[in-house]
Amino acid sequence: MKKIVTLLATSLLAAVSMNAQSFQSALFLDGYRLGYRYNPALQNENSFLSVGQLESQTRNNVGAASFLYPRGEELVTALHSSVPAQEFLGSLKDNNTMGSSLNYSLFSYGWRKGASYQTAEVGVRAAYKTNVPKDIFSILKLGTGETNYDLGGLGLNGNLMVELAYGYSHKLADWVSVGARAKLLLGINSLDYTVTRMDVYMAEDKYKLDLEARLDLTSRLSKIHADKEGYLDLSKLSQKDRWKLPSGVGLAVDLGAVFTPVEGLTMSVSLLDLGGVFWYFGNAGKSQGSVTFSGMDSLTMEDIREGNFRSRFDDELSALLSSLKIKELKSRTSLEMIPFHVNGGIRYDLPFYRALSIGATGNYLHMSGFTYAEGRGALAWNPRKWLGITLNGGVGTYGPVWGAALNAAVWKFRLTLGYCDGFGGTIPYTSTPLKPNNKTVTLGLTFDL
Amino acid sequence: MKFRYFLWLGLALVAACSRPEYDISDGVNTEVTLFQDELSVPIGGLGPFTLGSVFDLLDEEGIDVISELLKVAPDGSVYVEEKGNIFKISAYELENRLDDPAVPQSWNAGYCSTFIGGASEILYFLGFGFVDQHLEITMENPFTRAIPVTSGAATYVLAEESGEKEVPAEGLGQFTIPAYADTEMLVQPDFSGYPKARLTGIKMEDLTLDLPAHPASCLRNELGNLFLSLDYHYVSRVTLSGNFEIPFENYPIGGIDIPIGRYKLKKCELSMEFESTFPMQIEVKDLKVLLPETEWADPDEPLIDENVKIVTGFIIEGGSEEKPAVSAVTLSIEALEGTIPDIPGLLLNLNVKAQPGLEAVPLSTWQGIRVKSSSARLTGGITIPKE
Repeated sequence: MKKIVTLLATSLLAAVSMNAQSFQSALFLDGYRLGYRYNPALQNENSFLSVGQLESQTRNNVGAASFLYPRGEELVTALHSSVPAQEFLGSLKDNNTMGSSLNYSLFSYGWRKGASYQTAEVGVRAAYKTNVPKDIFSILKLGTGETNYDLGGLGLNGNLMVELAYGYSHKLADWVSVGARAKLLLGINSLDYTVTRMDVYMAEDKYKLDLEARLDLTSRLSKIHADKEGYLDLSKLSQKDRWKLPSGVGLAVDLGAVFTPVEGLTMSVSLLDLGGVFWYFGNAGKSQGSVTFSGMDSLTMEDIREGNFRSRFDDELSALLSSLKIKELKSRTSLEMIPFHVNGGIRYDLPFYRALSIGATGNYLHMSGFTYAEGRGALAWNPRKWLGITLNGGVGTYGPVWGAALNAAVWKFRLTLGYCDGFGGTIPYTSTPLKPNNKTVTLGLTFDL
Repeated sequence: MKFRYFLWLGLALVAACSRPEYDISDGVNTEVTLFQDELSVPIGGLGPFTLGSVFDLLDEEGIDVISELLKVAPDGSVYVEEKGNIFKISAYELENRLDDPAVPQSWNAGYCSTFIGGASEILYFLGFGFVDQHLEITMENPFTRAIPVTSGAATYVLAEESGEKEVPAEGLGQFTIPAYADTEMLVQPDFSGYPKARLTGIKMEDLTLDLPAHPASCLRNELGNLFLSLDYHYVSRVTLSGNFEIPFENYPIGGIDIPIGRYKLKKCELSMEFESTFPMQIEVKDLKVLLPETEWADPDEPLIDENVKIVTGFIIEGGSEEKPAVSAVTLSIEALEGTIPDIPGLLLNLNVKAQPGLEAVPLSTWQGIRVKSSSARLTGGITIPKE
């Protein structure tokens, strides 16, 4: 039981350390060369070569402080008797979600040609999302005060892709630029395990579970073979029959426009990652069924006398758990949208001191079953071509957020550091957030040509 | 200069993020208490615990008193059986007792009686009753001649609550034992007119036999049966009488060792629905948790853990196979302070007696008690200690 609890909490928090992307400070740092990733209409003065940029973004609506509680000298878990149920469950949402994405630009190149600016990029991207319904924690903490529980929505999914992108931006007039990026996505691996329905009835007379779940897993690494009864058996992993080609192929586009209606005022709007991937899931299956446990009806006196109670209980439990087994399906294909962003921003360089800018940004993220939105006010200082600094603060779906970014150049090398986070702190020596938050880390190095 | 301010501000923000009270490097107390409000668990059915399985258990334990007294028919019915002689004499002894064996004569055997009640008498005093009493009186005759018999007065002795009484034994006053009789049926009296009486004996006064001359010379086979006899075979199904009652007062049950202390339970309520086809009422008057034997001052004086309260006071009603009795009972175990400790033993106070108001139901090995359904309700949570 303790392992299950740990697994549930960890599944929500483990990926926090993975951190993840949409670098809104790009609008405020003059020397930042990969602004086209924020808005494909943004142009650089120079051509450049990037030797790597990491953008990692994590968004979770529940933090570690919901699962860990300081009690005197020690730290206890949410299920410790000293933690009131109201305090623990009150800190959770109906659906406790963690979404994370990681964009890693391995190589990119940008060059100017007249009024246009073009970019080419090779990168990898990963996305991960997990969702645990509150009712699971409610059962564990409180017990069966209620009788009906809806645990549908429990799930875990993620994918890993290689991205080949070409971007083109054109200055239509002095006051407007438009741009687009086309991306070819090659899917490496993808996992989607979703419990679409899990109705649990728990009462004195019986427990009843109605379950419907599906598993879609690519088979590039291994093929999961089925047992004699046709259920996927994780112990039967093998290289035989694995899918050796890319497991997914997809396309996506970024669209953007930048307006400069008056000198010093910049308005940006962009739509990123509109598209999807056509996946081939070599490992696919589903669980479906209803199972009722009314106790051990056939327990006999002999069972008790011969000490068979435990083995009989194990048999009943096995029968119960067998309903959760995943029946193998023939391979499945599926077109899946990738998470997309809508960004808007406005920047105004103060007329009395052009190096100082103020502005605001807004961002909306949409993943399957998960959305996030935030708005920030920003202050930027770009005193030299080799230095830019920006600070921002605002409010997102999960509460207040803040951020800071720096772009600094030494000779032709430009280093970019960005950090956005929520408030509430982290666990020492880790980056695990204590409160629901939105964290973005950006780290990149470019070379001006 | 201005850059330095930004740098300090950034560092301050990052430092402010870390909350030392959440430092997990020293470990986290992993003790958890699940289901803190309440947990309802269906446990299910159990049994049945039949009279037959109790007999088997007693046999395995070497307790054969009951199994020797009681017998079980192939259909499972439980009965007592007794066999014996009312009168028995060998041909040679008979000839020796005659004054003049050379002439045919009437020989008076005098007063003959038999006591029926070895097993049934013991069972009667234990509180068992008897129904469907069946008596067969048979005859054995080794002679080639029929033997006429007369009896001055023949009676059956019946025991009732009010005392013993004798009723005329029809068919035993005058009869003839046929030549060569071999387990020849004489009478099968009907005792249905005495439903509450128990047959305890047969009496025959002035038993007189009309014998031929030299009876020993009339033997059909000198190497066969040599006895002239009147035999009885008594069979009766067993019930529980209204007097059946076995109290278990302060009966200690040790060596249970239920290690539940580590789970820190506060209260556990067991709800059970019993179905009984056993004509016996079980009243659980009281149940107490014993302290470990190491804490007893006197090994014969069990000490009770006063901190654990078990609420009982329930009755499991008895029934029959035709009309099973259903009883819903609840048993709760609660720690008055703290949590329920390990349970090393129990002190039992219960009373088992015949189900009041129930007609005499013959016992059968198929009768028994089963837990039709059961569930548990735990209050206060289950603690799983640190690993």
